[in-house]
Amino acid sequence: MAYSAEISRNNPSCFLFVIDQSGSMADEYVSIRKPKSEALADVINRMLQQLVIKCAKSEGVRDYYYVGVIGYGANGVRPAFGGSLSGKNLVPISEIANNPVRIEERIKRVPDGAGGLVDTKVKFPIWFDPVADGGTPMTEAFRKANTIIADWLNSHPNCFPPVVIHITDGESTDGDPTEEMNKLTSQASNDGNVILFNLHTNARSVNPISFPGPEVQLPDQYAEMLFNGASFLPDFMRKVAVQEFGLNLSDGAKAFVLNGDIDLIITAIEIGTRPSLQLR
Amino acid sequence: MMLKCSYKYISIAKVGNSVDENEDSILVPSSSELEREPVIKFAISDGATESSFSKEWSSLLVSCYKDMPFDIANLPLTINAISERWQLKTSAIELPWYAQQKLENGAFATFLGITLNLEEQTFESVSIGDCTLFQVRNDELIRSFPITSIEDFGNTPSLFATNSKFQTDYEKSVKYLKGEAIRSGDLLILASDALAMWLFKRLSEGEKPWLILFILLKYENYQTDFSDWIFNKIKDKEMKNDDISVILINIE
Repeated sequence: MAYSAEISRNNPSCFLFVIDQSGSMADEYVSIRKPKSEALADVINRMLQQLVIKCAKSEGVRDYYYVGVIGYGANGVRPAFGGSLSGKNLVPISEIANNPVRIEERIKRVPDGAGGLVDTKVKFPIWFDPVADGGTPMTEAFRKANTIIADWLNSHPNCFPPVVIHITDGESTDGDPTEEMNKLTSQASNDGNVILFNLHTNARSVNPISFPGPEVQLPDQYAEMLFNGASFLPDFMRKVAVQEFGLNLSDGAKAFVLNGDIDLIITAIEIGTRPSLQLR
Repeated sequence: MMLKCSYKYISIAKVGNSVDENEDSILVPSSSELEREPVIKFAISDGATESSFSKEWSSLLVSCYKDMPFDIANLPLTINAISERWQLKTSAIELPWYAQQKLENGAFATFLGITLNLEEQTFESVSIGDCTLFQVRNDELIRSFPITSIEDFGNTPSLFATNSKFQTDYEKSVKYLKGEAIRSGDLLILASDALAMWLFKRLSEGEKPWLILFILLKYENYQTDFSDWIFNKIKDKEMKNDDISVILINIE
């Protein structure tokens, strides 16, 4: 049965984030009045923090995962970690834990125990800073993702299949990435095919569509390209969607979001990184 | 007439982990307690993989079962007191940012304790989660507790939590057995979840799976034999890869 491999230090899995860093990512999300690039950097940094904590044990961090973040924009396609991780594609989670660029203090509202909320300072490690500049070389980004994933699968043929999460707000400026997307989702470990999420985000979130099945009516060819390229959500992810997010998804639901606001993007990332619950 | 008992136990780390990464803990009586005391206690606790310092938590739970009350009226105070000991232990360690943040969630563990009264020929048991007690008489299973069939196993068993914020309601999640009879010749098995699941599977196929455990633990070099046997069961996907602990108690 696919998607049932144990995730362990002897058989780690990987997550690869492919992030659009084009100029339009500087536009603000209307709902939170924050540039998309900044809000997404926060989301990725928080996800990395949570994954590190999930893999932390008393003796240190166990390398259940390797994680990569690649960005595409004005500077072409390149690994997006900063500091001592810069230039690295996939990094073991223990190395990520020990090498944030910096640790900021953020204010978080937490329950005060008497029914109210109180501001408290929390540590917020930063690995990835926002960038928003230039065009959208999406095809080149997927070409790079294919190379990274092929190398990974070559050395981890029995792994729980890699999950690739692509986040964009615009159209490709270097041609049609369909072929590269298809190539990516046809790559597989002995436990199943790579799972590709195509998450399209929009500052105003007009007419959002999330995890649709084949019956969906999409507004344009560009949306259809992202929809067609995305993987079908495996059963275990659809279960997470129902149990934790109350989303009743059909058998044919795809790992695809169109015009999502930041909350919908967070939900999709939560669903997409759920193999982390299968740690043993 | 006072009954006597003897026991064998083993606890091994999941395949791929080192011995000191085994997060199960076991309580068994000393040989002098076994010789003299009419009331003796055994316990198994399975520390949750997802939390950190789980071994410390499972270890404190079983050792405190020896002297602290686990009845429903006293349980909140008991768990609080054990949790304070856990916090004292863990707060003394200097930790990097991620370990500190993980620590804030606390540790979790399932637990199964059994108290034998050899004079009164009875036992009582307390349980949270999916470690399971099997009572075998005349080569037949007469009771399993708290799990009664393989369908009862889930991915999210109830747990004792160090952080009261995450503790499930004791009334609903902690199960008790009281005043149950034991007889000479009874076999009691305390098993952590992966082994308990395997026992239920074999039982459902009409087998008497305690016989193999009994035979394996009979040999002098049973640690190696048992580990090899477990390794093969996991390799053949008959058993979940997990820390595995078992106590076999013979009532004589």
